[in-house]
Amino acid sequence: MTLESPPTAESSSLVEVRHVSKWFGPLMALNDISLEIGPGITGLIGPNGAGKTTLLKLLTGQSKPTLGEIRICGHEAWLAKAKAHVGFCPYGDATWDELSGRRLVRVTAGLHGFTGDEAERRTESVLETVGMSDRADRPVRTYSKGMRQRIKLCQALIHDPDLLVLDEPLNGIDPVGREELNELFLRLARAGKAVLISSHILNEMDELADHILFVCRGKLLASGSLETIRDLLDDYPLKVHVSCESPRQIASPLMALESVKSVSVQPPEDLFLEVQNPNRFYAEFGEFATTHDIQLHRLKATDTSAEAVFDYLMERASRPE
Amino acid sequence: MTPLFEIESLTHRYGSVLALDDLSLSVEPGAIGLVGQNGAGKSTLIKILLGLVRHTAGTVRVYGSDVTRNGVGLRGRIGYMPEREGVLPGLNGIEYVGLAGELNGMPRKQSLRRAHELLSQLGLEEARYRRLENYSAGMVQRIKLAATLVHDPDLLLLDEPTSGLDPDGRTAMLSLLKSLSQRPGKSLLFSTHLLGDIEHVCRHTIIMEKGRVAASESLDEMLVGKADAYLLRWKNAGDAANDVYLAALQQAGAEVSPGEEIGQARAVVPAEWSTRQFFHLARQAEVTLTGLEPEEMDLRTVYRRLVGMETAMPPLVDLAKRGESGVTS
Amino acid sequence: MSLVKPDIETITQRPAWFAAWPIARTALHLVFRRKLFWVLFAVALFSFLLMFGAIYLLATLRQEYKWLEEFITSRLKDLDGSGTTFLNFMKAQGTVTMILLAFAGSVLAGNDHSRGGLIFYLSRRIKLVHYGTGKLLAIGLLPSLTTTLPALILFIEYGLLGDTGMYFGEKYPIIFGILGYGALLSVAVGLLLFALVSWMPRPVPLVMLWGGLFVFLPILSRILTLTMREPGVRRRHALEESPWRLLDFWNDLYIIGNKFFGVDKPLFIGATIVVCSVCVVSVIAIFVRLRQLQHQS
Repeated sequence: MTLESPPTAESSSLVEVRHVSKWFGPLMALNDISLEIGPGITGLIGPNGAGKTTLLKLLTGQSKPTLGEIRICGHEAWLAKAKAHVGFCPYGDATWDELSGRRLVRVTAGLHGFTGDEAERRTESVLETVGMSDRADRPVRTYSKGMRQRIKLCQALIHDPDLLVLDEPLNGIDPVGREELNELFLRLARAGKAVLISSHILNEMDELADHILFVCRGKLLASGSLETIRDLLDDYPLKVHVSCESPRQIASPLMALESVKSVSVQPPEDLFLEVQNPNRFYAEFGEFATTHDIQLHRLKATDTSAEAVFDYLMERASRPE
Repeated sequence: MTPLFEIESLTHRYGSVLALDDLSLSVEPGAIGLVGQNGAGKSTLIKILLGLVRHTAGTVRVYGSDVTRNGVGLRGRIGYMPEREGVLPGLNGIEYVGLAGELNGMPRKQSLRRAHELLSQLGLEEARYRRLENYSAGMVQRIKLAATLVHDPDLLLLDEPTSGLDPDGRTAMLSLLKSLSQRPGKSLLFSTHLLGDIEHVCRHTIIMEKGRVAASESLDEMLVGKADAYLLRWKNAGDAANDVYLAALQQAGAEVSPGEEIGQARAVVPAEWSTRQFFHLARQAEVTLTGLEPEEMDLRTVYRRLVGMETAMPPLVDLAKRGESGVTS
Repeated sequence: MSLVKPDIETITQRPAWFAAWPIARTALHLVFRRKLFWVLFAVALFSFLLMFGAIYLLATLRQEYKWLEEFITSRLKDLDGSGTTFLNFMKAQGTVTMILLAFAGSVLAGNDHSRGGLIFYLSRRIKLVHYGTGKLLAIGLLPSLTTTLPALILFIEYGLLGDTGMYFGEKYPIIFGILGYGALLSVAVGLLLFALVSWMPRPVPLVMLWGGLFVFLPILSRILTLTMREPGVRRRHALEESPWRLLDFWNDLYIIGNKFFGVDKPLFIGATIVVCSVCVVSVIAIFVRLRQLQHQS
């Protein structure tokens, strides 16, 4: 059973995936996947071996689905017309590393059909966007991992695609670089591009992704914003951490609230609640806080992060249907 | 207790590159994180600690012993897990770990016995006779860890140990590292770009920049937040209601800075403030509070500040107003 | 001895030199695991089998047709059981040994450089010199599997099948000859191969260079000898004495090897100089390269 946010009335779908399955011999990598991707940042998460790489290959037209169809901006994904709309930043390093970064990007521009001044302009523009303008003249062989990643991003952006597919784009990048590039992705998303990021670093997904796709064992098990997915996981009551000066005093009044399922007190100042119906809970709690003087200094839901949601989804996936 | 490292005025040059610039550092045993940009000198430092590279100037002592004089002996007490290399294709799991033990001076039988044990404990029992080139990414990391642990070293040097692991694998590796670091007499130095990992496992962090130490502190000291600062989250009730709420808070005496997205803010409150007021004012503005917590710094913010990085867009939780940092070099 | 509980068994630590054998053993293991190695090894042993058969045949002839046996052994130095027999056998194994080494070289040591295994060794309780020794041991053992060991077996066979007591009594110095020549081969060829592998770890360039040294240079030396000889000098004479022959490394080793069997060959001094310089240059090359890699890894 897929957890999905209800479809919006207007779906500006840059990417449409309809009932796609992919076999490799007897191995079924993807099993009847249907999804849509629009502008904004979409995070693709899932355990290793779930089929994420296969899905990315299908989206970038490197491979054809065994069943079903994938359309990018209306064209089938493996056609050149579709690929003109897609920029791909793959996981590994496989380039001509004797060339300088600048040269490599210029060559890519040529591969996309740009020539002369247009190609030069785009090269410089894209190098500046990723922050490599002043460092791109040495051969790629001498680059650190972070610099290589940025050059790969340049190659993905050079033709100004509508869909950016990024496989672990921050691999090997230091904390400051991560921030800069995340900022870049946000900018691109706001400019109307669809940015699909496949990553294992879930805490970054928390902040970046508007929309999450969770794939496990070839199936799409959840799709929607993090909040929506969390809400839909209603068999997992929300865990809330409350801290105040005298927790024992408020334990029973809190239990009395309808939405609170259980309260566990941990002296000296913590309470851990399990809560049904979060919206109801917050309203009730707000009421409660204004009527009781409790020297509260913490109210925090502890399992709404991407990591927590991932764990729940994995647990759910491993339960027999 | 003997310090783990004592480094004085360490300088290292190769060719025209100054990799380490008059670096001084003294750290007690424990779980330590090492962060820094590529090129900040982390790998050079690690190689020097291992005695693989002779530094240009300065003294480096590990467990009180000079690294240049006693490199081999020290390597017997250290286990190093490199990020990408260090695998010998063609060997199977047991042979690989067994060889690692023998290279550390263990007799063959003891080494193999220990290899079997470690592989069971790391969940690689079924794959132990499989060749390394047929191992998945997660298994490769675990077997490298086994090879690092085989001679029971006192210090583990790990370079991106969660590289290539999926979220479950990462969680498992991090818990494992945490429990390893908590054994008495054992230490761990963990070099990574993922600050979240360091916060999870380490007690002390070293931040390097341009060949020097920008900070070396216990995590608790680094992450001291400003007192009387709170972070608020509420359900988006429309621009009007949000503005009303923020204005009301300002009026009541709090210094408020709105966050990255609607429904988030940072508030610095006067001494007499009661947190009840947050809820009271929220109710008045018809806004439902969903989160309240005292501001805690995270490693990311500390790092950015130390490295002198100001981005146009502050991260979501830490906001326009910067408090004093509790960090000294 | 668990991950988290305290240890009840102390880990023994032996001196670092003890690690050389596991390194050699592992390298050989990796070579023995390859099918290609066994195919080449079978080819290498082909002439050994033939020799084995020939000696057996001679022994049989000695029973029935002693005159035939004596006739053959007086004519063919290669079968008369003297030192020359084994010396020439070991020399003749040259081609096939070189082919074997060309392929084994990259597995024995090259993979460490091209696939990041070097740091695995160096980050442990050994020094570069222990690593080098272990690898050299493995590289040196391989040629002895195709030259020294078969030669020894043939020697024993010859003696056992012939007039045992008298043969071994008279000819026992041959053992030292075989071992000495074998050791020379292992050391010289081993150093050279290790040096080349350190600088060129990938199999294809290595095979090409190796082929160049052991196929091209000998041919070149023959051509040069024969075309540059003084008029009137006999062919065989020239081939023994022309300095151009020194370009043939395997031949140089053969010339020195003769000394172990008590035979003096012309060009001995020249050969010794060539072989020693090659060894010294190889050692330096190995040292420099490993040092470089240690810093890079």
